[in-house]
Amino acid sequence: MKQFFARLLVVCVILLTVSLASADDFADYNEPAGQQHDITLPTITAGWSVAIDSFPAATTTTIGNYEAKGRVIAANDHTIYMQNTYGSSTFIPVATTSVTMDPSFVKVSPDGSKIALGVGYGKDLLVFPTSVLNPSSPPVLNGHASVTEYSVNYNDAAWLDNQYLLVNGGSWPGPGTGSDLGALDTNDPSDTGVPVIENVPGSSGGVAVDNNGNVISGVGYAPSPINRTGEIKLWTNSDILAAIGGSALDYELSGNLIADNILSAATLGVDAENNLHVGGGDAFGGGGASELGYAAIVDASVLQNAADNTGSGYPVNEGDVNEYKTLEPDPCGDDSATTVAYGNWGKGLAVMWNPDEGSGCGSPGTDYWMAGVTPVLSVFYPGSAPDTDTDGIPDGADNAYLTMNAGQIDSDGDGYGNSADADYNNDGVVDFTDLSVFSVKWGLSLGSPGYDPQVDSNGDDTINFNDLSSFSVKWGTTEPWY
Amino acid sequence: MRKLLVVVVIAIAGVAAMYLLLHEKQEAKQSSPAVEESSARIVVAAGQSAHSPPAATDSQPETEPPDKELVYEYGNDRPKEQEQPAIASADKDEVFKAIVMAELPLLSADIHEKGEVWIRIKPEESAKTKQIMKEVAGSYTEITAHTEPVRVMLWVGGRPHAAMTFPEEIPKN
Repeated sequence: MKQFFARLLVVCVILLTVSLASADDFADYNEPAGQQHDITLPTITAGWSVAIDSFPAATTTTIGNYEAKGRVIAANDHTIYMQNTYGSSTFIPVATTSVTMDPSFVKVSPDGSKIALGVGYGKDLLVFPTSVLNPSSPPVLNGHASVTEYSVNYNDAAWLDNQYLLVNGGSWPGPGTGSDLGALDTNDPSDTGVPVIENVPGSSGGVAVDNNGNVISGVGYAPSPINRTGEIKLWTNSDILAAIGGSALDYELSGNLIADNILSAATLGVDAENNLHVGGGDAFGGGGASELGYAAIVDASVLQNAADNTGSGYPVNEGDVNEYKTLEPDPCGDDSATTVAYGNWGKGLAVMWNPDEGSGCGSPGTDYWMAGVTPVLSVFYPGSAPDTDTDGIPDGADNAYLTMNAGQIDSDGDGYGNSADADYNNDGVVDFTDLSVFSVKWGLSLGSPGYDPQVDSNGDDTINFNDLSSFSVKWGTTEPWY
Repeated sequence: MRKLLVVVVIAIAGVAAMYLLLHEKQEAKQSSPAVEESSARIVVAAGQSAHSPPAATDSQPETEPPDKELVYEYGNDRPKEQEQPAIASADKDEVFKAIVMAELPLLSADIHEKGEVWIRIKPEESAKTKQIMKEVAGSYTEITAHTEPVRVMLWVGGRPHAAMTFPEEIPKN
C-alpha cells in the first residue's frame, strides 16, 4: 500500500509539472483564460509621462513596513511613489528629487536591491539602494549619501544583472556615429561606462534583458532613407558579456532580427515565459498609417530561435496569431501604449495608456501626454498567475491576497479590501480607536441606521461574530494588510 | 498787396511740399508691408523691442493681452521670400534659435531640415506643450520667411514624443 501511494505521489508530481510547463501565457493575454485589472497611476504634474516598474519576486527588501516585492513603483515631477498594496491605485511617496523630473525610466534590479532612475534630459542618472526609500520620511535623492549620480546620456535602461545597467544613451558612450548602447558598472560610483553596441541607426528604441540574459534592443526613430523605426534585434548574453569585457559590437553586423517594424519599440520587456512585449507609438515613424492604440506581444519561440541562431523562426511573422498578438487597453484605440512593464511576482503584463481623450475618441492629435493626464495601467494576467487565497483574483490584482474576497469590496477606498482592513480610521494601526468603532457597529445589519460596510468585513450584510473574529486577527497590526 | 501775394505763394508751396513728402512716405510704406508686419510679430512674440525697428514696436501696444500675442494666422500673413532682407538662410536659422531659446521655455531647439524643427520643452511647462509647439512654428515662419508648412517635433528623453504640422496637426506619439 505504501508503495502504491508513493507511486501515486510521483505521478501527481509529474502531472503537476507537465501542467505547469504547458501553461501558455502568450495565448492567455486578453483572452477569457486571462484577466485584466486596471490601476490608476499618479497624475502627471510635470513632463509627459510617469515612469513605472515593479519589484521582482526575488526582492527581500522592505520599504518601511511594506514588503517591496510585487509592488509598482512610479516616478513623476519631484516624487517617487510606491503602490500601497497589490492591485491598488493608492500610491505613497517614498522619495523625492530636488529637480523636476521628466522621467525616462525607473528600473528595479533583478534582486530588487537597487533602483536606477533616469531623471530626465540633461540630468544625472541616479542609482540607489531600495533601502533608501522611506514612506514615513521620503528622502531627497539628489545629494543623498547613498545615491550615486552618473553623468551619462540615457533614454532607456535595463539591468543585465545586479551589477551592470545597460543604457541606451544616444551619443554616449561613443565614439560611434549613431546611437549607442552602453554598460554602466553600478558597483563602481566612478564608472563612466563602456560601449556595448554601437552605430544604432537613428535614435535607439528601448532595451530589455530576457530571462536567459540575452539583450533585446532596436531602432526607435529612423524614418529615412528607409523606415527602420520599430526594428528589434537580439544579442546573446555571451556576446554582450564579451562586448563589456572587450570591444563593442556594431549594430549592423551583430545580433539577430526579431522584428522589422513594431511601433517605435520604445519600451520592451519579457514575461516569465520569455514572451516579448513591445510598447511605443509610431505616429511619425515614416510611411503607412499611424500605429496607435496597442502594445504588441511576440511569442517566446521567436526569441529562442533568434538566440539559437537557427536561421529560421525569426523575425516574427505578424500574420501568425501563434507568434504575434496585440493588446488594446484604450477603448478609443487612438492612444499609443507608450509603456509596457512586467512583474514576475504576481505575473501580469502591464500596459500604460492615456485615458485623456481630448475632444473625443477618434480625434487624432487630441490625446496628448502631458501634465494633467492621469494614466491607467492595465495589467493583463495569464491563467497561470498565482492566486494564493484561491478567491479567483490573481495575487497581483488582489486587494487582500491572503484573505478570500472575490468581491474585492473596499468601502473606504484606501486600497485595502474590507476583508483585511480593520483600520477604520485609516491611521495605519488597528487599535482601541478601531475597536471603539467596531463596538458601536456591533449587531447592525444592512439597512439599519449606522450600518457600516467597512466594518462588515466578510460582506454578509451583518456585523457579527465572524467580523469580530476577523478584527481580532488584525488587532495590533500596522499597515499594510493582506 | 505784395506782402499778401508772397504769403499766399509760400503757403501754397508749403502745402505742396507737405503733400509730396506724405505721398513719398506712403509709397515707401506700401513697398515693404510684409517686412514690417513680420518684424512687428517677432516683437510681439518675443516681448522685446531689440530685434525690431522702433516704428514696428510703436504699432503694437505693450498692453496687448498676453493671449493675443500667441495667435498666429498661418497662410494669411506669411512673408514672401523675395520681400525679405538678404540674410543668409543659416543666419536666419541662428536668429530663430536664439530668439526661441530666449523667449520660450525650451531646453533645446534645432532645425533638423528646412521646415522641420526639433525641440525639447522644460518639463515644468509640459501642460503648455501644444501652445509652445505652435509658437515655435510661428516664430520659425516669421523669422526664416519659410513659406511651406512647418513641422515641429517634440523630443522627450531620447526619442520623438509628439509632432505637429502647422497649420495642420497630426497625431502625437
